[in-house]
Amino acid sequence: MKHSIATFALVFGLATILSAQSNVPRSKEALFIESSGPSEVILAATGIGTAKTNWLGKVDQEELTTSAKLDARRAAIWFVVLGGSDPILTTDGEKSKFAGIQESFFEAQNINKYIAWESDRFEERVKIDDGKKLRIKRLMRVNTRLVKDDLVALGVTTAQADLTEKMGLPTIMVLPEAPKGRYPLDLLKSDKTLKKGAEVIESYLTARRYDVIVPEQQEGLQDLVSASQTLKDVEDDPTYLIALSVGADVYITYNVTTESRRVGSREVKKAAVAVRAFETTTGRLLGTETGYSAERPTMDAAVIEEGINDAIEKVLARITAYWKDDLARGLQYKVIISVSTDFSTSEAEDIMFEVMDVFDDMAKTTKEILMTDYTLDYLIWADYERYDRSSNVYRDLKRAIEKAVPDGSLRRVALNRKLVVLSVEME
Amino acid sequence: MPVQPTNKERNMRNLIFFMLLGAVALSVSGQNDTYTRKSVTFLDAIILASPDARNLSLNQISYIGKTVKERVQLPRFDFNPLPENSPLTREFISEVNSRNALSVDEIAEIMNRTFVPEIVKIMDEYAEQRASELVDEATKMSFITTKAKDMGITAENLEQVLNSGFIYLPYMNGYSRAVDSEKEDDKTKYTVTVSIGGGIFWFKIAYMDGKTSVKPVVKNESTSIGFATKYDFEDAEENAFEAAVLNYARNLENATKEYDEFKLTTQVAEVVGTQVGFRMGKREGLRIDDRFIVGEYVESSNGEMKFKRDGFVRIGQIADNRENASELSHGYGVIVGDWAPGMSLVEYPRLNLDIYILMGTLPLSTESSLYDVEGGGGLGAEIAYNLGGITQTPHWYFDLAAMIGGASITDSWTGDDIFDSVTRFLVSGSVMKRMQWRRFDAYGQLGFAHQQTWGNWDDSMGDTYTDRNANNGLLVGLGLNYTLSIDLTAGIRYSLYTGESDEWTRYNADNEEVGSISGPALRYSGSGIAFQIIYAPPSLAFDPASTLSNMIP
Repeated sequence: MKHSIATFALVFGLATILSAQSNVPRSKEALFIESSGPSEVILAATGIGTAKTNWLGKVDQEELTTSAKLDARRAAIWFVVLGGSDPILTTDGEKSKFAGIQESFFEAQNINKYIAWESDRFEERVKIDDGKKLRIKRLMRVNTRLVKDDLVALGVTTAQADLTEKMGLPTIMVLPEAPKGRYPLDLLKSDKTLKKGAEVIESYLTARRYDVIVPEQQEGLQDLVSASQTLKDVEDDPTYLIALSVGADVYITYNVTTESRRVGSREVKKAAVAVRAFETTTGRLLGTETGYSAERPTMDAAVIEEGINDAIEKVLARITAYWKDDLARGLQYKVIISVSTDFSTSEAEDIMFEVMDVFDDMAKTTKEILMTDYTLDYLIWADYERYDRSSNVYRDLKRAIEKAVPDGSLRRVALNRKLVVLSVEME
Repeated sequence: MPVQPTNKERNMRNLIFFMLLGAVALSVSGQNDTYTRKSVTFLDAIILASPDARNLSLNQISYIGKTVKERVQLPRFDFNPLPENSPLTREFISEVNSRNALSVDEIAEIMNRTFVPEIVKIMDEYAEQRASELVDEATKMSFITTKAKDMGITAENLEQVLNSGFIYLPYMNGYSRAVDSEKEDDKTKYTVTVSIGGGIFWFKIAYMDGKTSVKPVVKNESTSIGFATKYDFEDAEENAFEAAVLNYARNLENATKEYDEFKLTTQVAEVVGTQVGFRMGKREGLRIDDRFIVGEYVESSNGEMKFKRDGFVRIGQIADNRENASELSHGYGVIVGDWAPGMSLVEYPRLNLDIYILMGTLPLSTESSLYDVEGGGGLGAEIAYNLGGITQTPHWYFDLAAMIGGASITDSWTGDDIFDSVTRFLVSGSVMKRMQWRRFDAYGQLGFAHQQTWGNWDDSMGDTYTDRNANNGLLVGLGLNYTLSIDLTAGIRYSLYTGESDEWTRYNADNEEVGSISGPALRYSGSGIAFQIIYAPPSLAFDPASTLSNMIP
């Protein structure tokens, strides 16, 4: 008898588990419409509704609609968390953690709080599967910041705030793309469109609590640039130079194109804005996106901002992903050391080998960019506990080199939070 | 001194030419389930497309133009009136008149060359305001409206407005008049029957990069008859003509609504029991008891999309969305399906009246012991004009009915028929209120009935006489109907009549009164039961109400 009860309980339990519907969205389909602000996106989310049939074989319409609406909300949140080209969760670790909590995360009560607004119209409403299922498409505005905060609280992802405490969010500089021979800061001063573009991007970044460096506000900028320019391996790219000089982790360039035509008596304008993000130390392209505004009979500033809104969110997502990866490796510095030609090439080589050994001690990862007879260009990812400032790198290098090379001394050429330019002089 | 025609009349007169009434391509509506307002321009001109139509007088043409305009200028349209006597319109008329015969496409081409740029200018003037109504919900929530404080209009919205232009051009291709007269008390009574035929051509303006083109898209046609009997010939002619034109214009109004692009469509916003709420109202000119099909799109396994009907609603309450766009109108379900928010509502245009076909009995009896009197079966028709526009609540009607049937009047002693044949006739006017519950509706009716009984007999000389008895009384009716389809209902009615009369009047074969006679006192009181079929027509050949009123000399 006991055996029968246990078997029944097991079968009943299994049946209950199997019949329980998963909270993970069925459709997983959403279309990004617009980034309506730094913490909100508008999506057209598709939901697939299902409902039980009654004894007449009829599907309950209300249940079907409610189920489709809920699935559309879940699909919208799924898109923000895992879907699209720039989801919140990017690493396998994060995705794996999320898989463990997704059933509770996608519970109706939980996801409803992320939906800031939902259209009461259906963009699409179609019965499928012989009328047993309903596919709908609705517009909704999702509060992405709240989603991110909750994922941090659930331990799925690392909070940007945590990053700030440890090593700070990436410092970003924004400048327009300058044609050859033009200086980007001059363009900012002379072109109102470009100025507006910079303001919009900077507003986005500050709203996300990134450190934004405004180069035209930097005192002695020209001196810093000149110092960087003296380095022979540095390319002739003024934006790159400025970014290096001001110590930005990442720099963003952009260009704005506006077109207009007439519809009736009105001039309608459309803006296309290309936004590109680079890693400052290497000039590596982190992300590029072109955003388009709708064609509107409005002022330039409005279509430019609309175009930037369309692009910036995706680029920022890629910067964040890059930053997370980089954080795992340590704090990145670009170190350029030039050895005085007073040393012989053989002596200079020994000095550089010594420097490399020091790098291996202080950094989790290193990357050699350039090594010539008298110059060494290195990227190091130093332990952020010990080397939270570039002066610490400088100090340890100085100590080690001056010990290893008694007739040489290490001098500072330029030092900022990203760039360490040093020279070894013969005493 | 001859009366000089006005400029307007000159225009009318000028626009008399033959036209090859070609077929017009119908546009097919897509899956869009929200009506967008159309911009309509009318011309103060009518094409006279047949030799009969050229017999119309200037006043008649003017009356047709005015009446059609009043009916076709629906609240669902925005209007772009061309300035009166615009040189561009005159140029159009002059060019059209210079040609012997024209096809519809040729007219479209002349329109495009002459006054269409002017229409586009007018549309352009209002484009921003009209385009702002097309801004979707996502845009209203987006940066462009919330932060940039812009109206959110796109070039697409503006182009949609500039491509929403239609021009309508009425035409007449049939007109005939028949006159009958008879002497009555030294006066001549004229009965005039006017028959007219014609329609409206709708042209669509297309705008692209500053260039316009015009193409004919739909042709609505109608024919109509008007009757009048008057002692004054001119009155009879005028009343018959006006009755025909009014009915013709009403038919065209409904035909216009039937064009897919002009049909009101929207989404169901809420479903409460058998009631649905939706965003549309006075601004679109909804009428109480208007019919809307409820349906949804269904995708088959091979990916084909079809619109599946699932019952219909009638309008029960109309929101004033001119003030508050989010206010919902409500419809009551008649054939109720599995409804849910998001389903589509598609207008099913019908005239604002119902036609009843009746088959039943009419009561007739007597208290006289000399006669046996018995009512018989009858056939009839009733027209119920919807009073929703006045009552603002559903299912109120003003009914006009006529029924004809037989009866038997026999000698109670011998059992012989008193007359060779006996006919019963009833006309009534009443107010009816129906109460709908899904497919069923019950109704009550109260009004007046005029009833007649007449018997024919031949005397020994072979002369035929008719003895007639008439009565005016009250009518109280109850009924129960079952809706078969969106425009067809079947039911039964139980009617109670009052009154009796012992006044008999004799007429000879020429319908001349011979004198009063004594006969059985007929009781019209009692009940009648009838089976009824109710049909909601898209058009009528003539209007019974105006016909009835025009029958009073």
